[in-house]
Amino acid sequence: MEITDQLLNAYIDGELNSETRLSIELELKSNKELQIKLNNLKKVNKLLALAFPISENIPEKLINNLNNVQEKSADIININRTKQSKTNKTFSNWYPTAIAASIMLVLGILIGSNLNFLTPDSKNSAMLAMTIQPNNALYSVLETTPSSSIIELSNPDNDKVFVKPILSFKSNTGHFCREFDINSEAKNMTGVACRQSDLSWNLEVLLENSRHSTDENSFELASDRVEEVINSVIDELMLDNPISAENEKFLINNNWKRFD
Amino acid sequence: MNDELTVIHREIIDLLPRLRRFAYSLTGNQDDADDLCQATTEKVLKNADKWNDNKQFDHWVFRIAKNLWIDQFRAKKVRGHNIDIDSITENLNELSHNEPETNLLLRQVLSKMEDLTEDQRLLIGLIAIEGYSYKDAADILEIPVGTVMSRLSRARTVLVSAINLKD
Repeated sequence: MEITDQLLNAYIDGELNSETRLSIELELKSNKELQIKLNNLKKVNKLLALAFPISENIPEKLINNLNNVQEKSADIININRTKQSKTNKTFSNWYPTAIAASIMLVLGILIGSNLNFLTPDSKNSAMLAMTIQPNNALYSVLETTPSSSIIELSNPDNDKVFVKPILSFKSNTGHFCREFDINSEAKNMTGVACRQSDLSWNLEVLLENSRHSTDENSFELASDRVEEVINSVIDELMLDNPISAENEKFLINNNWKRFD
Repeated sequence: MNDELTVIHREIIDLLPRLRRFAYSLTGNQDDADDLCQATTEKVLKNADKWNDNKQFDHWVFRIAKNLWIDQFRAKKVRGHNIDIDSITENLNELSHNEPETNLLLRQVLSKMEDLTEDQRLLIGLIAIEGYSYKDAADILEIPVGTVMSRLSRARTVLVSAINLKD
């Protein structure tokens, strides 16, 4: 068998079947010229690996740019989604259920789900737990994280928990509100909270998306139903349109003091 | 609720170290590599709705990087393929103390990289540096596996000529 350069390359790249590989290895035992060729190819591979090592240190500007682009893309999608939901008429039917679901869900959290970061004190009543105070991990996300950025909450006892603000808007009572997602291995939730004059965030609604086996302490809804309810709540609360990424940035930098 | 965008955002973050290395192997210097990475990730996010999740995400991203490199960076002929050999070898010496002979061979190989055609450089980047299989590289570059084999072999012949070892 003639051992071409292509075959020798395929040999060092591990692309050959065992039969061809064995033929090459047999030939290599006695063929000095082939041995030199092979060594040279291996040497080049080693040098390339040396010259281009993988680095886990990603420059901050690349990550920031990624977040900014995602923010802009999300802005467009959010505005489209809100326009769609304006035609939604199910609010009156669903809102009481949504509130009930929120309360049950928060109770579920208090009873010992793995998302207990939502309340600093597990002895709080359900209604108290619906206010997000500054000592709550979720509070700083709502205060400081731009929409579409994902923040991992420190939750050392349990699995990873990610929070992502979705959009910000001004309510018809003059409060700033934010829709957000909470994702973990066990639960996916979507909620809306509005910032109060005492600086706390009031949880208007928090629903869990049904995904897998249900937990008897939680109240789950199919994800399209969750979206429908959340859209209804936002439609009811929102004054006009979602706040743009630029204005949201201004608000975050100015502790949610009005920009107009 | 932008689930696609969230998934893609996470996937890109995970892929960034490899994407940067691939970009580095194409552009030959870190600044251009980061510009290429930035352009690639922007395009990926803006086209998030076009990603078909039956396809491998990394293949899609590397293909976008490849097309951008060919379209934008190759067009800047004045830049050429300047490989910043000094900075590559300096970085290496910070990480480990190479033998002077290794440094010399490295400089020779990197300098030969400049003689490679775009197609050859892409295959060295994908297979020799990123460790993709011939099939995966063929998928990313949208060429037949046979073409991968012949181009890669020619590319390695050029690089081997730089070290010309005699045992």
